[in-house]
Amino acid sequence: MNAYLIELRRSPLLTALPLLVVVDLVVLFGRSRYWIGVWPEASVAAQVVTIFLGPLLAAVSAWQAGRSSRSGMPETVLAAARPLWRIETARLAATLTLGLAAYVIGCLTAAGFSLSEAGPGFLWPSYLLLGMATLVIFASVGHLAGRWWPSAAFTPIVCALGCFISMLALPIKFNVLAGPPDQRLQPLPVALRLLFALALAVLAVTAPPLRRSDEVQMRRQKTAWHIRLVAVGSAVVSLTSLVATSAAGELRVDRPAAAVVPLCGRAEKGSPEVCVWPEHRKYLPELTLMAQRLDQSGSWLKSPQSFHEFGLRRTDLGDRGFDIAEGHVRTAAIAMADGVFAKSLGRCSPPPERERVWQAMDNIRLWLEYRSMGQDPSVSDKGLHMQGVEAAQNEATRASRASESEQRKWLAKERSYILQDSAWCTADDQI
Amino acid sequence: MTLSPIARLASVTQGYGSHRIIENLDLSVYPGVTGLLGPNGAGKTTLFRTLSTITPPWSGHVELFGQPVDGERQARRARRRIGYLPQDFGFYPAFSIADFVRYCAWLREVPAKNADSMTREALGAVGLADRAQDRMKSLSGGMLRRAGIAAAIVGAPSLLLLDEPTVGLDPAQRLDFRELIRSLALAGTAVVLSTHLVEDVGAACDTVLVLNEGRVLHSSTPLQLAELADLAAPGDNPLERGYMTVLGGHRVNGGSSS
Repeated sequence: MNAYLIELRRSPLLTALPLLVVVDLVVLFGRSRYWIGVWPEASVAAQVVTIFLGPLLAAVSAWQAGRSSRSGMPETVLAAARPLWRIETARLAATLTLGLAAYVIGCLTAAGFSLSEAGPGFLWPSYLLLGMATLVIFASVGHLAGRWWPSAAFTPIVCALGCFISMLALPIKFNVLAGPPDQRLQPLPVALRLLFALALAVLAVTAPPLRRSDEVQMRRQKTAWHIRLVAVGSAVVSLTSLVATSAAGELRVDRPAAAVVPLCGRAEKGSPEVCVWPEHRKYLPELTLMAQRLDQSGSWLKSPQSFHEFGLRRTDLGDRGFDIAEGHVRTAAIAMADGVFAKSLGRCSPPPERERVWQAMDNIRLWLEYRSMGQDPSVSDKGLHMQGVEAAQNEATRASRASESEQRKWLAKERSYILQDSAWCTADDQI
Repeated sequence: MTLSPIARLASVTQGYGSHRIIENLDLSVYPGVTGLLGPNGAGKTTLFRTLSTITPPWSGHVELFGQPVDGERQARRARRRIGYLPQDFGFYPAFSIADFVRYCAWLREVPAKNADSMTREALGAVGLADRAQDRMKSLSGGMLRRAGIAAAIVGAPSLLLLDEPTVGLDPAQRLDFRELIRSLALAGTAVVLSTHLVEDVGAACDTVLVLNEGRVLHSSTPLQLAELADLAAPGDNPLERGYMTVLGGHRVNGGSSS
């Protein structure tokens, strides 16, 4: 405890802690803001910072671990009654404490900003544990590398770059970039990563030191057999858990809808009902208004009784639920408009050569999307990268800016193209 | 009544790689101050590393505090009672002096409840109490040496091994240092002191050992060593001449002990 507190107090990370926290907060708020008010997204946003914090921690850990050799301390350490693993543990624990402190501050900030908007619940522990495992893994790798190659610059730089590249390039994922509520982390891969992190940390402090060229001739007392056993055991567990992690399947899987009670609402009595994952509570008012606008799109257009968010009604045939991508309800409008189209006209598949019919289908769908958004098309398309539908965009934009009666006429005309042959469209059983 | 040795080496042979440095050495260290004299390469540092249990001997037996040191477990137990200042002692530049000494106390497994008071005591003993919060990197050579001595004496070790502790100390500090080790010896500590400064041995040591080529050439009191002095031997005082006489005799006689 004594040495741990001294290491903590004298760690360069303590001086750098404000900088780490700034990096944490810049990544948290600079990358996006849509996570605010959505617990799984807030958890992922807090965890994403490990992409930067992990390599940084690996570098500092390598620097710290090599300090003993660089400072000429090995002889003092070799003469110590305290076993080497205890000395290394105090050092690694201090590095981890400060690294995790920056991480926890980020997590608490994410929670604080989400608290008022997100409703019941809290940050999802699985994402936070994944981030913690990543930090422990990288700090441990850095510690071990620093002990074996105690260069003040080379080893920390190689560790930082190596960890950063490995995060991007390795097939084993150390983090996730998005946390939609229709997905969750599998407990087994997370547990295996935690086991890997723990085993690496144990290995980092119990592994025997590599002899440097100037120490090669100095014969040392043998490390106690049980420590050697722990080092070998932790190396075996590290490798095994790493292999098991890659064999454990996808880190993120579909979240079963049966496990939750969806949050449903409607703009007013008689309007279509909209159901979302409970964590998407903050989008519900806007989505119900969108559903209401679609319901008022014209007497011949039929709106489904309800709209469900993606994942709430998975079937063998797929999922027609709406999606809220990165906080944009505009993407939900696409699925909602498609739902109204299918309810009104069925699923249409005209011959490929009937380009005008296909064009009419695109026109109506886009027009419905614009209607649902209740905004001018130039506003509602902002930030949305749509390709290959420029003609439909232009046509639907023109139509949606026209008067209500002209829109009706335009719609009737477009509809007539589709209804030329009743065989082209069939009723959609799923709506 | 026979005084039992704090440390005893019996037929110890020791070296690095294939290079033999100490050969068949017998040595007993008793409470009091033992001065170790010898030219560079005589095996003083190797002897310290053997006594401090850093390196096990190739052959022979090491006994510390009445117990044989045959492995890591016994070595660890013994290290709790050994204070060691290596010749090139390292330190963490960012540590304060107090933290460095406290850290060394932790390394020696000084009980946590006593660590703070013993750190203060050690710093007071070397005259660094008022500089306790200074960073190690800000210290002069002499002050660093004093911090090293404080780190070695913290926790009141029974065996204190000091490899050239007075390098960098000014004359006044050297006088203080001699006073310090004399007081530690009076309290029952066995101090082994390696130095090239013969006057330190004369002033502070009860016993002097002359070591060369890994063998003890001479063992006596400083006064007895001075009495051996050949008037023709080089040196500014009887002790220096005695030392040079012993060394010279060894060289002339091809390594025979005096």
